[in-house]
Amino acid sequence: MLWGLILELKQSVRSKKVIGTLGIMLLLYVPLFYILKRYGDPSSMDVQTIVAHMVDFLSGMSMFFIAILALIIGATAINSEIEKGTLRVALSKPISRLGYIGGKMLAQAAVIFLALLFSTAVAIAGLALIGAPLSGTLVREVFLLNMVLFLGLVQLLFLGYLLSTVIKSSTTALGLALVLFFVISLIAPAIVTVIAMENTSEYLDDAYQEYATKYLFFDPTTQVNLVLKDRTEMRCYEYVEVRDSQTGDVIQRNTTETPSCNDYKHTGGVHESNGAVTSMGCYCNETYAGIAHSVGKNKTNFAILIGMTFVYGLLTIWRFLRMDLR
Amino acid sequence: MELIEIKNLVKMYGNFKALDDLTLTVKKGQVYGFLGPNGAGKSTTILSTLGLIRPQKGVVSLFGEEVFRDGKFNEGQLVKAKARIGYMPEHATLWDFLTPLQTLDILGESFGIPKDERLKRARELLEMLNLWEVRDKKIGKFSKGMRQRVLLAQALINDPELLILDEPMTGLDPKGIAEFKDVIREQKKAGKTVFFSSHILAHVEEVCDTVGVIVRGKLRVEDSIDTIKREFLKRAGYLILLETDRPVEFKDVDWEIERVSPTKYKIKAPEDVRAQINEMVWTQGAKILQLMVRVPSLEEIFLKLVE
Repeated sequence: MLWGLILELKQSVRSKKVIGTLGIMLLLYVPLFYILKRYGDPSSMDVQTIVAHMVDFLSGMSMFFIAILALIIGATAINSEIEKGTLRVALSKPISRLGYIGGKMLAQAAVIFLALLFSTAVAIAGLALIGAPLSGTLVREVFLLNMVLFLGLVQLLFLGYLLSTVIKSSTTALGLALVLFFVISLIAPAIVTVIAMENTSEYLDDAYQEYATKYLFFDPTTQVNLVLKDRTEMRCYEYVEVRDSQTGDVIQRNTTETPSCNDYKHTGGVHESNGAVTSMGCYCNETYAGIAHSVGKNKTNFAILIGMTFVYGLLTIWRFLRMDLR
Repeated sequence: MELIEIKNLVKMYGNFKALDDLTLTVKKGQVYGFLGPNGAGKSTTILSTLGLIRPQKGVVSLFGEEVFRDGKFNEGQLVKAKARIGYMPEHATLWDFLTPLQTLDILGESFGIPKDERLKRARELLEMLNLWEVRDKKIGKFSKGMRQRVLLAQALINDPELLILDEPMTGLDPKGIAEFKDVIREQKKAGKTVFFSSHILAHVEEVCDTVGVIVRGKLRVEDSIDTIKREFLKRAGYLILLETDRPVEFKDVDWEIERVSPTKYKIKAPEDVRAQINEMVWTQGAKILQLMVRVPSLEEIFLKLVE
């Protein structure tokens, strides 16, 4: 197992594929920083705005590119090695099939992990360069964002692997991977959106999530977006405020947190007595709660994201142990 | 001792029977030439032996240990056996972006050979195969002949007891073929066992002591080259061309005789009958102007077996 991993890692380090991928990632960040700069003065931006831009950008455009890449790398992983004959050379050495495939998959997942660490570093360096205020929170959020993307990418990689064990010709698998990607990441979500719209009158987002959880479990891009969507949180407070009716100074203020203002009964009530004005109300603030919070709120989608990765991974191994390697 | 023992192996690709109850044995010290036309099942046999293809039925033993029985591989035994085998696949390339030295280093690592030892071994092999000069060039830029030599080098990295070569000389120029034959001879000298497949008889004839001929997934013949030749000649017969100064007659013989001209004959006999012909012509008072015997080439024997 260890040797299969070392073999794949050594190959990856020396192959142009990995360097090319890193290069593409680097290039993808350029427009992001450009957009951030055009949007406003980066030095006065808060974590929420920056992360929102990054999520929009990464889960949109770059996820699209890198996801296709991950799927393609997977879809040609085994069949092309059979075509070239390198697999026969490697497996004629004292290594079991399980060790080989396990090592190979782990190594490629590790390469993706390293690529996303690199992406984290580039993002942070870039943010520093355009003058965004770096804080521990921002660094953590950028890192977590990349890690959620990692899960999505590994799932696509393993889906690709499954394809490469089923389809003998690597060129056919390549074409099919592209078609499959468009079907699962573009067409299927569009159909599910329409279904969600048809079946609900209000709160489209909630209905969409319900349908997407049920019918788009196979699409990691959708699941990644759902996992990341609740980064902000509504915090609502009920308050009772007593002011001096002459000076307007606040004499007393009691604030209590409440789940929402929907049930608040005394909206805007104002009472005046003995030279004091008592006002009551309820207000909500959108605060940044972070990616970890969002993952916690969308546990089902997170579980689907990880679960499907295992399903594809195990199916690949099961196939590989049985197939003829010629 | 049997290094490879294959018993009643059956491999189906869908409805196509690639191996049809194949039984084959390779003994220690043999140079075994595995002959057969394209598509006869040579590669399938070799890949099954190494666990790269899963047959449906039969038994495969390597170094006396069973590694396969009726659709199931014994992975533990197989891995152990593979540590003692060197294999060179057919139609294979190595990783284009690696150099010969890197390739041998990585592949040597799988045997657990320590770094300095495998680099020493790699150097010996690359020097032996005239690749030391290009050790740091990427294999992707190599010619077919150079690639074949790197493939051979990787098969020898663990100094294997059993060398399995799948069509090693296909596509090589005569010089390359001669080099390959030298390597095989050297292995034999060192007491190693070589099992190699080919569809070209000339490649097998010089270096092998034993030949197995596979046709449509079945082993037709398995014997020493000399025995096969002799056996075949008995069946196919000798063709003798005779020219005399005047017509002669052949009596009391069961040869096939064709009179090409009044004094020219084509004689087909089950054995070398030149001495008898000489005597017959002599007793009839005629003189022999020309007497030629044409021994069928192995190629013809092979074609006859394949028919």
